[in-house]
Amino acid sequence: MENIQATLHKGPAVEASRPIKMTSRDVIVHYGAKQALNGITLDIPERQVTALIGPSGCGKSTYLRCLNRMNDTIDSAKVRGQILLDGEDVYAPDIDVVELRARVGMVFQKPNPFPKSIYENVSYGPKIHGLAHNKQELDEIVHTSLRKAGLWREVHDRLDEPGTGLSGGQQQRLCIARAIAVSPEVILMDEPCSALDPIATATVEELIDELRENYTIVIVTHSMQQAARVSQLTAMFHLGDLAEVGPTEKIFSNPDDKRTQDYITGRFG
Amino acid sequence: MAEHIVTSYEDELKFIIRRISEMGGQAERMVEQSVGALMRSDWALAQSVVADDVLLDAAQREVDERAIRTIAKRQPMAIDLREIVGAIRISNDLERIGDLAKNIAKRVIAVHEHSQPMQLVRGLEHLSDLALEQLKEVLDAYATRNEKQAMAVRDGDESIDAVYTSIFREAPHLHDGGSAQHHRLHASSVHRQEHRTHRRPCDEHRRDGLLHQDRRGDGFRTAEGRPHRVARPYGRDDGAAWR
Repeated sequence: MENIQATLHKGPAVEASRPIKMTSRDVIVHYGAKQALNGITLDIPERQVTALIGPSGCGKSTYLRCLNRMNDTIDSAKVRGQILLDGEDVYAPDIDVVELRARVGMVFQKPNPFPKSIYENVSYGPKIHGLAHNKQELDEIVHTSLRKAGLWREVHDRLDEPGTGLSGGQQQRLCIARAIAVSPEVILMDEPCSALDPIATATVEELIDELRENYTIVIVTHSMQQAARVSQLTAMFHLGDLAEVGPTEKIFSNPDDKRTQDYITGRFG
Repeated sequence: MAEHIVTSYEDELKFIIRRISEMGGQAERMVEQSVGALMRSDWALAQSVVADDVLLDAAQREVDERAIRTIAKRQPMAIDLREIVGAIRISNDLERIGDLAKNIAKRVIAVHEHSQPMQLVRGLEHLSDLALEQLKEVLDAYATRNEKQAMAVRDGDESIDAVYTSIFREAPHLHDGGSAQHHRLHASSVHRQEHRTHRRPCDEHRRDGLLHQDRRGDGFRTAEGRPHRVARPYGRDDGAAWR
């Protein structure tokens, strides 16, 4: 019995052996006078899906946006601490933020395709980053990205139609294709399925599972089931603190922290 | 543990837990009454135990149904999921306790016209006291979520095995009255327990040729030549299969 329990509680032995893609040390974020993160220390394993969960306002989106310096766009936001991508400080003065955001791409809660054609939505990034030298190369990138995003079959005969004409789920996969097109290493997803129906959600989740082979993924989600389904590592945030981090199976079957237990089972603390 | 935000979910879980407690009380009562009926050769009491078993069966089905519905509707996580899966298993075990109590009661009905040897009756009383004590303890541990107490019950199982062995395997009284008495007294559940504990049928059944060793030597056959399955932990709840 104890043996069985010990096995159950240990969870899969994947995370420990994985190389670390991104590291954060004592990350503190202020929005003006309000402190949003109270010193987050978290390692994000390479080519795994890390889920960030926690009640609204707990700081998980704030943390996510620190990883590719999206918080720079908010004047009142002040970030302290250290965030490393492959051991390199992403907040170092000599870092090119545009290049950083190409390496650490982002997919948002609401699908937000540009009001352009499907083709242009995907080709825009590689074009401005100079990833293609001619039309043929660009076509190749667009095709590959759409294929990886699981959208090719549905749109290959109407690449000139506006991206905004697609269904919600297709738009979100278009945004994922757009993120992939610039060959990122990390993809950040902020509640990517919250505006999608269950079928579109399943398609995106299946996609996330496939993308994990080549990309490191960090996903913020309010759906406990989704976090349990798609991630290998789960980090639970609470009031700006990292309450608990561990293998997803452990977090959802037998968490150590009472705040995690209360949150995932739908209790109040 | 704090309450769920969704009160109807909280109510569903509480209902299942309450139902398990009720089943526990009922199983306990059935065991108590069946052994009481054996001690006092109380035919009527034994009859009522046999009749009561359907209530426990129904309760088990209800817990199963409710548990499945709650899993489907609420998608319980972590401690809640363990609670529900635990409830399904526990209700199964309690239902089985009810079956065994019914078995004892049936045997009481079969032997109530014969007087029982005092030594055997005392031994059985002692055995059932131990078993009932364990049942009380474990139900208490469930109600109060006392892990230590639950572990203690698990570890205490050996004492029951020891008493059982001393009554049915070492005591001479069963043999004094000859095989006929043995076959009357040896309740079906006892036979099955013997199988589970010692991995073989009891001596009397083999000695009287009711069962004999399979030619391959890996099992037993009945006098009619049907294979006699030994490793069957859960089966029909009347003892007929063993004869």
